[in-house]
Amino acid sequence: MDRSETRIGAARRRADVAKLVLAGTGVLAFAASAALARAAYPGHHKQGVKALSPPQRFVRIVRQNQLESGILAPTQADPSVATAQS
Amino acid sequence: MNRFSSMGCEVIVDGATSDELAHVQALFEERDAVFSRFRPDSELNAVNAGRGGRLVSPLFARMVEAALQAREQTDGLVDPTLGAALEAAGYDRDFAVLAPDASAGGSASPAGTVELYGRVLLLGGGVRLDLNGVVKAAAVDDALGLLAGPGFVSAGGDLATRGEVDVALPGGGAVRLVSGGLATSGRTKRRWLRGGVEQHHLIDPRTGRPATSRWDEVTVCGATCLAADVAAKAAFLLGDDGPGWLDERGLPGRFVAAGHAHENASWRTGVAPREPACT
Repeated sequence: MDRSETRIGAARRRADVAKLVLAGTGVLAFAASAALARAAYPGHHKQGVKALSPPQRFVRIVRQNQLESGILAPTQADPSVATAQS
Repeated sequence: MNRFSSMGCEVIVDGATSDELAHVQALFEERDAVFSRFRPDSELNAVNAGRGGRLVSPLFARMVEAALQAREQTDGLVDPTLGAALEAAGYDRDFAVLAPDASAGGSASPAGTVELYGRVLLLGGGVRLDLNGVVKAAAVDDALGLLAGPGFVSAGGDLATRGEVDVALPGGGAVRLVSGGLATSGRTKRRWLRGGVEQHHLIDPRTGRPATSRWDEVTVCGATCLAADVAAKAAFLLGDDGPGWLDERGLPGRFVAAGHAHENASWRTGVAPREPACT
């Protein structure tokens, strides 16, 4: 094997190692940035997510309130309609 | 004022244009076609004859949901699963053709299970739905929503109004309905004989038989006709506790027994003459 081929092979190996180091460094930098952003950026929630649905007690009260009253007043004229059993 | 027949009763519409009246009639016809127990092709009968999960129409699902809410709000007194009990009591055909029956009246199982997941309906074994407890009153409310201006809609005495209207009451007297709905439930109209025993259409879900109540008729005023109708049925079934149950909810109620009317505190407050405002 001549000397020039040995030098080219060695250069290729160094280039491959350098590529691996650069790729690894990039991945690590991305992961660290993402972790820091998650911890520090205000748009990211830091606790577990809670459902937005209202509490069951509130739901029960609202439903119960569906049986609300209408408005009555003393009669002022001859009735134009009658309420009867359905 | 316009009148027509639908859902086994007279419907009165006041304040509607001719187009609005046509829409109201179409609405009642649709509700009758979907929810009648006496039309073999109704969706209600198809659902009751089905097995397992049933996919129901959006309208059917909305009425089941309203019926389940009524059951929840009345602690189970107004229940949509009493179709079999009603048939066992003899109400198995249109009331207009119901004749005395010499055979003894039976009883079906009290209230059963019904679950609704979106439009998928699950019924417990032997359960037959009867949604009459909510369908007619909801139709009255929906029909009123079709009117652009003031007016009222009444179906068999279940009434909803936009604008003030004077209403005659069972047993005599009258009241002005300023807003909301007025409904009367009782046992003196839809009643029949079976095995020599008087039956009526208000089934007590605790026994599966026509309810025994000290009241003949109960009239309630609600924010909607549906609220009034559900509350009137519950108050009738509660008997002596009916007036107090309505007062706890701020609902005016008028109870008739043996020709005498009894008003709860909310009713008396509502119809008391107003003091003139100080100036």
